[in-house]
Amino acid sequence: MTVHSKGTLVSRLPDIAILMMVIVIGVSLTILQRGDLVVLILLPLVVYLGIIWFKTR
Amino acid sequence: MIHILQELFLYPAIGAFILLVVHAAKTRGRRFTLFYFLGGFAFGLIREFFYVHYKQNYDYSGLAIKIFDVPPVIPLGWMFTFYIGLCFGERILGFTCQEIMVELQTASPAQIKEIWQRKLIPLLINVAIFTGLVCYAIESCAINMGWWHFIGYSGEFVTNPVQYMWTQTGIIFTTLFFLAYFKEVRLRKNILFLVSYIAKYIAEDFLYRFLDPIGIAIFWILVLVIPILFYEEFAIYYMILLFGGRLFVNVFVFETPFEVLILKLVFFVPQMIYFLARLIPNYAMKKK
Repeated sequence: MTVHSKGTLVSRLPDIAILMMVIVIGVSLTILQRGDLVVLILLPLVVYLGIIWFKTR
Repeated sequence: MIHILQELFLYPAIGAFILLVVHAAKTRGRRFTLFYFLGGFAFGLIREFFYVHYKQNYDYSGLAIKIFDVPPVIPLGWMFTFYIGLCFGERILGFTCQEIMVELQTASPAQIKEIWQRKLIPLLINVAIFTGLVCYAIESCAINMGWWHFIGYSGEFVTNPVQYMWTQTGIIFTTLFFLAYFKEVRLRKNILFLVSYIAKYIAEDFLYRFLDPIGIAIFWILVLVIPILFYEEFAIYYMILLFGGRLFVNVFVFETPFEVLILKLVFFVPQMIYFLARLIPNYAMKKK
């Protein structure tokens, strides 16, 4: 198996890990009732992840 | 309430880290996994130890468990960031560390230099860009949630110089890892790059405050010159990083909500343009 084996759960573990942290940050800031911060803090990371996932889907 | 907030960060962070160790072990083998994660944990712990004891810019009172005054979740966070950056870098550039390992075993000295400059340096830059992005998200969230905070800073967003230093930590660790893992690339030039970059980093974050005006002048020459002497691709990226992370902030340092937006645009937009224009699609594979 290589790192690029697509479709396997193992190959997607880094994506799942970063999604977990995005969710943690989103939930944490939502608890603080700071929807503005959710957008401002996560925007650069989400743009980057969008590019990665779009280019390598 | 503080315990709930801690656990909200702690357990998902540990869970995500375990997922990455499983990924490394399953796809890259035991040697890589041990090198990367044990070495990385030690690297992160030592780095944080020096920051806690000699810089004192962080207050980790929001995290209970500590080793040598360092919460172990912090080195785990470093590993998390570097490893995902590496995985995404491999994916976007179209090769893996394992493939590079095979390639290096039969490569001539000239080819080894080419592989370092055309594959490993772009991979390194990918890790650096990702590290800056994650730094902004996690640190900004952490200071708002009270997981930790910066001593003497009460803003809602992590500052550009902190992102800049995080990014450079990613550069140092990844270079260190490449030199440890790929024995073929342990060339004098690459080792000199690492040593001088570490020296520059230490001067930038620890020794700077002890310097007299002449020392500061020499320091800035080192900061501006040393990293651009080695590799063309890295020199371009470093100038972009230095401008957004340090030089712009030193000239226009404001911390009102509006100026924070400007500072973040200055940090992220040039790096993103560079990322899109130079590293995608498969810059390292196409350009000879």
